[in-house]
Amino acid sequence: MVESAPLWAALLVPPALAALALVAAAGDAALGARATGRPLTGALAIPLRETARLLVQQRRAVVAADRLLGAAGPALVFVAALLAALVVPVGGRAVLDLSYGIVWFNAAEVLVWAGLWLTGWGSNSPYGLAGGYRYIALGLAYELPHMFALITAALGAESLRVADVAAAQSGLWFVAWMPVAFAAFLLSALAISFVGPFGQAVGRDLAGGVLVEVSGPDRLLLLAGRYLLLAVTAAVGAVLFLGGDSGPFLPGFAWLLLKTVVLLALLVGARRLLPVLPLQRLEEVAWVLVIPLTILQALLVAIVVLAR
Amino acid sequence: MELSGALRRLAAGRPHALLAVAPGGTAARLAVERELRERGWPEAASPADADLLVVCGRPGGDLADAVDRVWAQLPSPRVRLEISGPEDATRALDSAQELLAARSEPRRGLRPPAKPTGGHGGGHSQHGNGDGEEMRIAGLPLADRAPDRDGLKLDRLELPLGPVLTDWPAGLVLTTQIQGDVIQEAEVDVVGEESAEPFWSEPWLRASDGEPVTAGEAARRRAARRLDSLGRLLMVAGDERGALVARIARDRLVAGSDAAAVEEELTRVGRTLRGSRLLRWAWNGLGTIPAELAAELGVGGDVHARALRWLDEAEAAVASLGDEDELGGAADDPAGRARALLDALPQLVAGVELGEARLIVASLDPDVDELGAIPAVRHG
Repeated sequence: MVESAPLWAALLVPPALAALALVAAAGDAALGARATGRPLTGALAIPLRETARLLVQQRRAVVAADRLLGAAGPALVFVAALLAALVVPVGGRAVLDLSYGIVWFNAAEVLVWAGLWLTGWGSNSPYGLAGGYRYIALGLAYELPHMFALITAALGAESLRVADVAAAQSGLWFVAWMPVAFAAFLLSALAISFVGPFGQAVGRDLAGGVLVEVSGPDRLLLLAGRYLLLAVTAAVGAVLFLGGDSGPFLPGFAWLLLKTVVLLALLVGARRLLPVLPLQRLEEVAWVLVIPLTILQALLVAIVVLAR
Repeated sequence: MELSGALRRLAAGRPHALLAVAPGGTAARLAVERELRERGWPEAASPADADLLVVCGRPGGDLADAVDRVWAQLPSPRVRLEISGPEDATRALDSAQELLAARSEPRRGLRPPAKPTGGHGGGHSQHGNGDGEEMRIAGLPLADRAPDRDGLKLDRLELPLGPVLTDWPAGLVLTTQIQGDVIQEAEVDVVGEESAEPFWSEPWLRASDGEPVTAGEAARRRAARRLDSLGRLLMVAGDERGALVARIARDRLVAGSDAAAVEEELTRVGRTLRGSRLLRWAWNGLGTIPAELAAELGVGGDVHARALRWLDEAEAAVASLGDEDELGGAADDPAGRARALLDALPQLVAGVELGEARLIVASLDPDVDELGAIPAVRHG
């Protein structure tokens, strides 16, 4: 039913994702401007100014830093987001139409862990290292509910192929009967992208944490990679829980874009809504509340699938 | 080259600034922070993130060396500014922006400094490996090992917090020994305090010199100080928006606005601190000061309780801005208070995670400037 898109379609993925990421970054800047009472027009140029700034900025080196790993980390975050995007079906076609597409997406996200940890390690700074520790602790606590949420959607469709999950929602969107999995998916997406209340790994209390020694193009890769990651997570969320490109009147592509933008706005908005919370509290929330709830959700969906 | 020039001009529209504040530089810092906020220029979290190094006040001695080391860590294009008084801020930042847009430096990798940039001075011979000769990599001592709180032997690193650190008391250096991200022990040091004039206790000191000072003037300064500390605490906690609101109110008070002008901001900070159940839950029990120490210091509770007390004091002070009475009565002893807070820090941060330690320091906000203050004359 679904076929792989032609190879040249892979070339469209980076610009499409970059455009979404740019919209998200501009939206975030606009929210920031509104909070401080500054004009919105200037805010929209902020992502471009930041990009220009980091492109002309010098790379830094620290005594005895691990330069290879320190440079590989940010690049890995960026590449991981692009890899994750390959399995998103647009108009019924994905660049990589894998029978295990959901596993591919999740594996790409786990690469982000490695990327961030390597960046912190490579800086040879106690701040960077402590930021890395924080991200690993946070990643473990929120990767589990994330996986359970993904598995729940796959269970509902009885397939790990992303396009099959989209097709299985022709009657009813998955968000309607697996709302807990959907909420956990969004929450853990914030944690994996280390934004908003989950920003401890790059916190000001650690002088920037993982980012403490990162400058110039490396910093650009990492910060842009974070927005790419948010964008691709929003797109996958739209496919897995909001019916993908199904919808009346408009073409499928437009529906997918609309749903993705709505989810992206939600993720970016949540980032500004809450302050950074102490890590130990977030760990509590994950292990005591979110993980058991997502397991229960998966169990419920499994029973429904077996019974029908 | 044409392209990189265009990129540079685009980037210069929004440079990131790292503040290095010397004791006595409070007035300059307030002016710079206000100017940065109004221009929408972000405050960098570390040298790697900065285009501008803004030195507030006049750093002397060890602090001057530390500022030089930080300057060596800024990636180019970069500009260093020395701002000794609040009146210089606007002009200096304008000229820095022009320099950033115009400057074209050869793009090469930033050379690592020949000497390690971490600690300052020696006196830590216990970190050698025993036979008198330390193991070193690229001039840096290797981490030593020591038993941790669970009885394991773990790597132990020396990490100096300060003196150039964002949202950190000027001139304070907390030399910590960390294992993982937990502080095992800490030592307090103060650098560059030579010519410090305490900005925050200035009205009281003037009054004790016999100058006529109204109680309202002193209240204005106290309210601004509390809001400044609250802004710093919120910044460390990662609530940048809350911090900006507190600083807007602070700057209006410093500029001489009346109570009505800061009412809305105070309400917003109050909503963040008092109204937010989330924050209450998140900060609950964080950085609690033991009861016996609390009695000695005059401050207790956890981080949240201390923040609420600051807010109460700020609101009370704003309510009495119009007080025309002469400042009198029992003046307190700012130097003694600052000294007690500094002396208590090592005890309070021992065994605490780095982020929590930052919150503890921010929630006490000792003012190094006051150390040199002559204890106010007590009259009547």
